[in-house]
Amino acid sequence: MTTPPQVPLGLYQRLIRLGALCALCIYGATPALAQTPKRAAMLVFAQEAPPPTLDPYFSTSISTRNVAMHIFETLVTRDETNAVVPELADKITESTDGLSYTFNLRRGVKFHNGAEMTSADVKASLERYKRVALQKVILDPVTAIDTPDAYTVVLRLSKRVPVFLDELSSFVTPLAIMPASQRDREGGKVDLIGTGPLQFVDWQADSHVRLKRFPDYVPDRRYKGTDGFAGRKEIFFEQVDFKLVKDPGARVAGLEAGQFHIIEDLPIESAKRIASNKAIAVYDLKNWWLQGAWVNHAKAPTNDNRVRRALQIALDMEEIMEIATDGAYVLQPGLQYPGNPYHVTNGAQFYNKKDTAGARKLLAEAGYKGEEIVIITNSSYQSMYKAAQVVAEQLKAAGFKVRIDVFDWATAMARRSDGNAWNLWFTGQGSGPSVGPFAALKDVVSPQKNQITADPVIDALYTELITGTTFQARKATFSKFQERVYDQVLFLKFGDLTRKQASRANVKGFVPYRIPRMWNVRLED
Amino acid sequence: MMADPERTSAQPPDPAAVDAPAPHLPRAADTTIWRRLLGHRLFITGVILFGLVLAMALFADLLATAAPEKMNVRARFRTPQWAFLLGTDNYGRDIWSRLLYGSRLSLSIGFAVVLVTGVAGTCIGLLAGYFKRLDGPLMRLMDALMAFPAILLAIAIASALGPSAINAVIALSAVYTPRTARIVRGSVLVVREMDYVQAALASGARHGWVIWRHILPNSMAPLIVQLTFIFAYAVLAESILSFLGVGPPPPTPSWGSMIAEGQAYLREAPLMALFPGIAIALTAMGLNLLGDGLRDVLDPRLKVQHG
Amino acid sequence: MAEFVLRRLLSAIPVLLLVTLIAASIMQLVPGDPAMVIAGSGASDAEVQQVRLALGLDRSFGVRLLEWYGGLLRGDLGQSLLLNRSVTTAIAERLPVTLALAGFALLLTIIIGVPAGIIAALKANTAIDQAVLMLALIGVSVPNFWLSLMLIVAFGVWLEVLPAGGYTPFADDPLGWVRCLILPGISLALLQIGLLARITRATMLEVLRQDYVRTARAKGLPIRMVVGQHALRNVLVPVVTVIGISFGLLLSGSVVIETVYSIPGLGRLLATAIFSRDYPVIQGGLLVTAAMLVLLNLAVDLLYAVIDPRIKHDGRS
Repeated sequence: MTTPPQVPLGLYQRLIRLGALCALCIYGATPALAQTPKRAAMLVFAQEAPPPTLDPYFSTSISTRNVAMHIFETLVTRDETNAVVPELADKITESTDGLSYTFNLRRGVKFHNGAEMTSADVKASLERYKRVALQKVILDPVTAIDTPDAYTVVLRLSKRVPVFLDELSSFVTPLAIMPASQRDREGGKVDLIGTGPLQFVDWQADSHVRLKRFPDYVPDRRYKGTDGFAGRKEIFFEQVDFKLVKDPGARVAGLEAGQFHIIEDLPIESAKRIASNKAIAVYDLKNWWLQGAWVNHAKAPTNDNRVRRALQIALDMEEIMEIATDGAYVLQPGLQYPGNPYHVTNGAQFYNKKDTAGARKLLAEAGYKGEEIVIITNSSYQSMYKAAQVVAEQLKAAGFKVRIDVFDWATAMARRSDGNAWNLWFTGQGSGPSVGPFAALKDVVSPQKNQITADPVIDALYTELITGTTFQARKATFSKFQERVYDQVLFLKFGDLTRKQASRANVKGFVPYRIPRMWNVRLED
Repeated sequence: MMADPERTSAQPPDPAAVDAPAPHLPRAADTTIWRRLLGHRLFITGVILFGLVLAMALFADLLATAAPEKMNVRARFRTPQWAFLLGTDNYGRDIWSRLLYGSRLSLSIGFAVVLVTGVAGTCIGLLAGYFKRLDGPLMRLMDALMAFPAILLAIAIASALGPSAINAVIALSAVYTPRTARIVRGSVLVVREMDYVQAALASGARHGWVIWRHILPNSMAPLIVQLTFIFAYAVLAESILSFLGVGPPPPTPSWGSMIAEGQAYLREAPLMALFPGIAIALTAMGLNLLGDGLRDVLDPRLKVQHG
Repeated sequence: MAEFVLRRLLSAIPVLLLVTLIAASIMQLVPGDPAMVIAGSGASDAEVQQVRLALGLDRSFGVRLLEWYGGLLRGDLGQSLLLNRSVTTAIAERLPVTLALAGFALLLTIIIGVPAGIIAALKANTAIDQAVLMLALIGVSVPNFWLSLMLIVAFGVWLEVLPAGGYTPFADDPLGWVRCLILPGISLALLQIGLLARITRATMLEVLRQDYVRTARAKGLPIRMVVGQHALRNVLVPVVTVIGISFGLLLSGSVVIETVYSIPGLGRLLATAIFSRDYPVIQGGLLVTAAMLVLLNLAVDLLYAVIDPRIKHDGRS
């Protein structure tokens, strides 16, 4: 950049310049004044779990993402229909051989420290992601990151990955773009400087995270409003507080008292009572997670598929989900949510059969001698805890001998890797199915193989899935994948859990999503 | 009142031992203990209360109107009615039946804790009180254990060992043994200085015989009183462990986990949490009254005089 | 006196070290580690291992423990694995809250417990005496977490006069601070009130049994004139006793009460740390707790010596 030559200005010239400047200001400001409503001081959101870290690379936690996705943005992300859309990237070009991707970056995007985002920052972020991120495997095929100029990044891959952009836009461990200065920071030790509409102020663990409006944020004019993780994000508050309120009763009480504007999770029982409160609005967030359990293929008696089948068909999913979620659920066998382009119903013939007699017969066939089915559940997630109780009783009625082990979450997770400790491990598959079919149940695939014993068929199907070059091919593969999951009982799905959220009735523009989106939200008087 | 040797370990005296009986009780030395116990109104009340809970546990099979684990998704959150005497919970299970079977868990854990604490506390207290060289290190260890807030120690141990009734007993015993050890040690320290003990030792009696014949019988009274209170603490503490999710696992009904399950539905179905709490309170009350009565009657001053 | 204090403080050191050692050892036995909590529920084993390596949790127990003790010598309690701050800061933020709650509960205990005990003794064996004894009995028997829930339903939900949980700092809103401490304070104090009332009653009965008191009463003199100073001094003994025992019980009780009422105090910090396996916080927090207990016991013993010199020499009077 060159500076204009310094020429002393006469008074007349200065007045003209001043006048022009004023005219420009008034012209520029008037539409803004007409469009932007008055900004309120603070928005308070009550969150149910404390974020273990605010470094988006270093956790898969919802609580981390809730906050981090307001501070940071990504190259590509998902819109409301879950399609891959650009955010910090202006244009993305895939080479015909699929071995390189060119990202043209938006210009004039500012970090919270005032610097403009350039390709150097993107390259540094990718390098850091490759080094410390929990899902760094996404970048395994990337062999080189080139930055031909300040607004272009080229990724070269060692092999063709048809779902590369899907994975890059995954929000499980988002690829947030950070300043180049953060490149060598260890996981969890990063400065919270992003390009998002809110900037970091303060984090009192166990109490709240405070963010404030980033005045130099430029909303993405390609979008009309709120759209998934992307969108035209405008903030109508000076400050946004994410308050940590673990106890659901306290969240509800705080909402009713006007202490909180929006709360993350509304217990279903309260929903019925609160629905009649005119000062409160309740929202349904469908497809929050798949409620289910991993099945251990290595430990007797679930190492025998006849026993597994007996287990599978004995269950009454309606009873399980009704009690586990107090009525907030949808029964459907798919491992993707209805409305999702990859939604298929293969395996439905084994789903929700409530066939106790058939189960008994299968057990007799398999020569079941009363070996104990060990269930592991946890006391941290109520729906998993309750589902386990109901499943245990249903299985007992079908002739199984059952034992339930309840642990706190950390212990339960530790036990999961011990193949001798459980036959059923209760869980909720959350972000995975939302991200797409290849993230939906990828934990059955080696090396993770939550069912303990590797299943070569499912491994092969997974490879086929992520290398499928057309959507039709991938969908067909996914149908087989899902069929296999049901046929071999790699996972027991109970149903889709619906989450309820709530806000004060004067909160406008809040649309529940995988994260609570504070942009385009206003308080109406 | 006896001198308080416990003070050397930097703890204030046990209030339970300071409480004096109301003056009107018969204190004549020749009234037998049993007669005095039976005449003690509060003691009898305690026996009745505890007896009721014991009856609940023993006759649960007869008194229950449904299997405690039986779920009924169409009968959730019922209010008390003929079919469900105290209503149903969020699984549709009968609260009355669960209350009955829950008493088994609470009482058996309480009893087990009393047993372990009694035995372990006696051994440690004896060793510490009788053998001067063991006193220091043993009491340091006991002090260290008592420096933990009881519930945190119990949570940590229960988490380490895993959720089960046995592990809950171990965890709670670890918490309460230092307290019983101190009491026994206190008694032993006093009794050891008594004339007849000194005389026996001087005339060449072996330590084991002295302990068995003289020390133990005369040190037991305060321990027995304390153990009744520990039974009450154990019932309360087990309910806290279950409430926090580290107690004995389901589906065995437990009063503490019933309260925990009721917590989520406090506004909509407060009865779920109400009844188990009352049950715990009544059990603890009965035990406290029992302990009070025992303490009034077994006053250490009298016991020591008899020798 | 100074020698006594010094001796007590020195003898407390091995106890404190033992406390941290026991805590660390037990936590070592607890399955799971903070890496799992940080990595989140959707993380695979490989991802959790990554976090573990980044935090240095793959090193051996002995190494990590020595490192912590080393830091202790420098006055550094370590860095919390999950709270994004030093252990010292985390404790310093929460200690005043617990002390406020405990102080409030202690105040309630003394204000209600002492007069109740005195009245019960003065009216021994009447209906009032029985009533006080009954209430004291209920106080020590009722599970305080359950009582908390019932109080929340009654006052926080049905009547809506008091907050159902949460904590308002005094600096923000003094009235709100008092209001948010009432229900937890009562839940916490109930046990202590029962104990104190009974001890006060017993002590008072002892005093009333003295010959000179009985004579004065027989003569018709009002109790207050006769008993006054003497009774007050004797009543201080159980009060100090309760303060001493109370602190340990209050800290234990506060773990549950703070959890139920969502109060950000030391008790809840420790309980949460145990469940999320935040080892430095657990060790540092327990050390601070045990140290406070030791200091408090020392203070109580010194107070005893001041109140009644006889106590120091021959046990309880």
